[in-house]
Amino acid sequence: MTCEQIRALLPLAVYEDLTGPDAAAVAAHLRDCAGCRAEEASLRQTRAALDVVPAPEVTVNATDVLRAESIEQARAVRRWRRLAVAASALAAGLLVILAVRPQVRVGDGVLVVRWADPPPEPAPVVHVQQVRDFDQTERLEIIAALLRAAADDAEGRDRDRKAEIAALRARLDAMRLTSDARWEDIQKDMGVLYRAQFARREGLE
Amino acid sequence: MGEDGDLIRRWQQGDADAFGTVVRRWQRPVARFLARLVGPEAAVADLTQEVFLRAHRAIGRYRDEGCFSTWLHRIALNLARDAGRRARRAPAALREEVPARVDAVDPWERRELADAVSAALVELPAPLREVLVLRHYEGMNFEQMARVLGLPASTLKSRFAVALGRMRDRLRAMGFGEEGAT
Repeated sequence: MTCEQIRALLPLAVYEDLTGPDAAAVAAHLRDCAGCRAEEASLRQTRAALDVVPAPEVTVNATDVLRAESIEQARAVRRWRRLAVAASALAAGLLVILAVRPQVRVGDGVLVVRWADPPPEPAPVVHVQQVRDFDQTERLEIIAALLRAAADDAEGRDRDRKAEIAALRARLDAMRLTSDARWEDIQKDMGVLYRAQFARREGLE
Repeated sequence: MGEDGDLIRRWQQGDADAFGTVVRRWQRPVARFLARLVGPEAAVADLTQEVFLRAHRAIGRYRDEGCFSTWLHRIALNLARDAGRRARRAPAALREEVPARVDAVDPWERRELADAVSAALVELPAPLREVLVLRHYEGMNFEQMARVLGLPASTLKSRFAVALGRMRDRLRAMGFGEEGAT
């Protein structure tokens, strides 16, 4: 091993933390290397110096610890209680705001908050009304379309009936003409028969 | 550790006397450990009390696996880290050079050396200081340290070598120990 490698192991060697081949290698190296021996000596001196620091004398009173713990617990309970009160107040405030529905307006650099007068037409109602208007318009359009369709249908039927009536009237006129013609024929026939009858009577007499 | 186990079970069941016994048994080791981690000028007594307060709060979650010492050291270590973060500027006040001689033997020089060592310890970066304190003052081996710090033993060995070297260099710079001392 090189001096550098050995010196990296010296702190562990000083604390007897080296075992096996590493411990043997360090021991062998130190026998032949004055520089590494000096390094090891300075580290041992440092180790010894660390022991000079006195241990502090501290006495902890277990009762004080338990008292501190109970105080801390009481503080935590108070903290939670305050938090709960604050949350309740916040909830109550929100409920009041929801109930009162204040109007806040900013105009001309003035902030106006009105608590008493409710808005003439609350936005949701207007919205609902708008929806309702929309529905009514749509329904009216549907009804109008239905009426138009019904009118068209009625008009169509009316046309058909008029045509039927006109046809009937034409047939009636034709029948009347036929009837008149036949009546005339009958009149003529009756005149002929009458004349023939009366002529025979006159001839007999 | 078995005795600790019995005490801890009684403590977990709410026995205040058992807690008192644990405190009396561990207060000095905990205070010593904290003093070396945070420096002698820190409020070690308050920190020690805080360690037992935290331990008392957490004792319900402690599972006795024969490593109460590791558990308590971990609590103390976390507290020391918190305290170190709070008082990050404090070491500057301790950095005054301490004129003294090598291998102090008389009480005055010994006191100066102790102050120098404390100051040098506080100056070490926390990861190096923790490993040096656990190895030197707490006498833990690297496997025990690995459990307390949650790091591999090989990492801790490297850190320990660096920490001891830096302590040596710092003490030399303060006038303790000499280049090439034998």
